[in-house]
Amino acid sequence: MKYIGKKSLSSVLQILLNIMWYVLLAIVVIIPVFMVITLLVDPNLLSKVGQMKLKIYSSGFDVYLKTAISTNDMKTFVAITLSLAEMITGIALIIVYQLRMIFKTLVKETPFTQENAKRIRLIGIVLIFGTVFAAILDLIMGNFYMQHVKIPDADITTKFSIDFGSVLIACVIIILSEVFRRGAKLQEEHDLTV
Amino acid sequence: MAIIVHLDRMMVERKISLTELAESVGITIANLSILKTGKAKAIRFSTLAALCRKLNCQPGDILEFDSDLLLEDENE
Repeated sequence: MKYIGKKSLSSVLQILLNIMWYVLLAIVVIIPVFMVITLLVDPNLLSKVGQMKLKIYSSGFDVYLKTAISTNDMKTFVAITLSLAEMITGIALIIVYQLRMIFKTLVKETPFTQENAKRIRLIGIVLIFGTVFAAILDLIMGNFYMQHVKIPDADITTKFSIDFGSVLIACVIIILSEVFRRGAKLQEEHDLTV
Repeated sequence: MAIIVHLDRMMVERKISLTELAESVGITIANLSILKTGKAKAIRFSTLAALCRKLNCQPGDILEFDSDLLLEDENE
């Protein structure tokens, strides 16, 4: 099986990344539009949002609540939820864009370029930043849920927890970017050796 | 780069074209062009030997060391 070059695994992944890129781009545009419609243009939509059933995802099991959640501040609830979704999508968009650029070079030319090293480093930094950011956002959202959202017969508690697995992966990615940088330097030396 | 390549001068003296030299030395025109324009970072002994044989000269006729340029490189 071919891993890099034309008609290889990387070319398939490149297509998937392109699809992901356009889907994320659409989400980034749709979220603010939806926010404006729900909060300013058609407040009736808010009552429909209030009838949503809550799903709690865990690593081994999911919990579906049969009764609808209710809140005394639906506008803030919608605004916070959508803002968080927009920010998380934005971070994902940065990472997918960098990956697209890297995969483009995997299919067409050599991957060992200084630009790719910089892109990999940026992915690592964004991943660390995004992980910490997500933890802070979860805490903010949790606090809001605790104060304003009523789930029948359930107590909500908040906690600040960073996904150390993601931070570890991000650190590995940053180290790999340095390996790539040195690889790019060797490639340059090789290319300019006559 | 503190090493100056005088390949263009030698080629004029020997009245040989870039294509002909590249073919006889066994390297690509692109690589020979890199060497001629001074962009090369290193030269293999095998390439240098082939160039000297074809141009009927010594390595010193093709390459020159300039200490002033070395100082410039170090300051960069």
